[in-house]
Amino acid sequence: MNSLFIVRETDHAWLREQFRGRHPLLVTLCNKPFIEFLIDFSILAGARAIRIVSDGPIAELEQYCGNGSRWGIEMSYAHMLPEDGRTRILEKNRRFCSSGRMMIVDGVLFIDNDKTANYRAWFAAIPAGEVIRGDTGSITITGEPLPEAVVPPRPRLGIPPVSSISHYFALSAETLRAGDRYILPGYSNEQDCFIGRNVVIQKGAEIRKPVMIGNNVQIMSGSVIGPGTIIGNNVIVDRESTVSESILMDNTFVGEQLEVERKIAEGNLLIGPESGASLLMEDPHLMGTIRQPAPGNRIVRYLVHAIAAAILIILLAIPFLVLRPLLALQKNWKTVAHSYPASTPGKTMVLKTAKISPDGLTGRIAIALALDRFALLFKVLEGSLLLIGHRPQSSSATAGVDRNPVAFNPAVFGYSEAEDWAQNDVDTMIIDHYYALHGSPMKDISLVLNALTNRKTV
Amino acid sequence: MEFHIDTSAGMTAGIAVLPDRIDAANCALVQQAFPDWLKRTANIVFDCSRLEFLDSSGLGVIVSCLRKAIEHKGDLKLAGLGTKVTMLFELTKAKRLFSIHPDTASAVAEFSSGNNE
Repeated sequence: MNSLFIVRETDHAWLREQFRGRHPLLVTLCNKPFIEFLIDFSILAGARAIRIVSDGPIAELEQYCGNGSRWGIEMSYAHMLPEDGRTRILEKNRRFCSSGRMMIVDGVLFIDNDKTANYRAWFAAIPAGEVIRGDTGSITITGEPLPEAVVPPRPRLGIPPVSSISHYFALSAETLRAGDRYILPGYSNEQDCFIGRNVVIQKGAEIRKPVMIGNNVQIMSGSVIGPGTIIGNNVIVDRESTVSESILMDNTFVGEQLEVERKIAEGNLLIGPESGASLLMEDPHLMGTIRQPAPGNRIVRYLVHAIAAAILIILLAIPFLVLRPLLALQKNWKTVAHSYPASTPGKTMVLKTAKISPDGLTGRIAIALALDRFALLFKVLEGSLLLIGHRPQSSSATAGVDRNPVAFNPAVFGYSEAEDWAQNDVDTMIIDHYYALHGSPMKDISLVLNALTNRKTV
Repeated sequence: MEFHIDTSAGMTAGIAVLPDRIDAANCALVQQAFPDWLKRTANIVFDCSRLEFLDSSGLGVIVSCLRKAIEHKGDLKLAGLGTKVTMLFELTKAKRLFSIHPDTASAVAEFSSGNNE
């Protein structure tokens, strides 16, 4: 069976207005775009290929879904005219529709279903015709059913209304509560609890089920999250704030000691789903948007790091030239070569790092001045290391840590060295990841200074 | 900002009509005017029906006005809060601090009934 999704610009246009121009099918429900729910359902129904036909721009959708290999199906895209009716659309996509059984999902954003039900057998056996109709769309089956197939009992199937922000809010809450009926992102060993990757929940924070937390999320101490809360990716909830029965969309910052109850927050936009009122926060202390680093940021970061490394090389050259031979004579200087992960995933780099024994005054001075990292500073100028980023020792210890959410930036100094609370490798990785996501080139310089002043000489 | 005394409900209450915006740029005006209003009566109603925007500094000033009114054995009530400002009061938990009324008449009436929360 093939699936044809008909997406008209006028369908769910309110979602585009509400969520800052995003394509309605890419708006997330429980941290997963609507289009993925439709794809999941099509796969459950036995579809091997999906075509999205739209009268509007679908480049955004195409970029997200690609050729469908992520789901193990073929995905293709086609255009139609706004005035095209069902018959005309089928004619225009004759080759795609000629393969026999076809499911036409027209104007539907979300299908209420149950992943454990056998939709494949049911769809293969039912006669052609409209299967279900909702407020905004319908699902229709065309083509002949399997000969002599017995129609099994109708599995759970519904098209809930999604025509206002209050519908969207109610559907999000319902989907979270019925999380075991859908394939939802996140993992936890507890039911009704979905936690993403790189989530930091500080001591004293409380998480109440049902709850969904996306990737790269910081929940600060004293905060209470849930019940009935959905938090997107790249979100920070600051100290002692409460977020209950609410949705925090991606890239949202919630300030200290706030209470978000039955609201939708996206960046600095706060929406009351019941009233439909929206409030654009101008005060960054209350709520704000967490901005993703711009592509040019990497070049700026390299330049800032290279300049700072050059300054450090100039400042440390004389102490290095004086102390290095002395320490070698005292046999307090050892050089070891190790293989470390490089910034390109799967690649490694060999770095020669120095180990200085803190015995004696010269050793302690050399450690305090970070002379053991002196040779690595030249790697910053080459561009193979950053001045501060993920600590260079993080090879074997953190090899199993998922680096997907954050670009891995091997560096002369680790961000964790700028703070002195890390007790183990996981703490170190958390700090490194945090600043990798939330740092800036200029902030890096102050963190380098912190790392230098934090040097332990014993 | 307009301020007038209302005695229609049998006791003296001051009604101040807040501007459409209170932020860091103009919150000092409210802060400076409030002691003068307090000299006339400690029972004050802020008419927020025109108020469209409030930031954290504006909110801080309103909370400090409440504190001053209580110190003078009076109260500060808010009336006519719009949806957006209500959302902000909910978000910052300031809603719990204030007695909030749909309009100034009901706020003044509550002063008369002696129900100062």
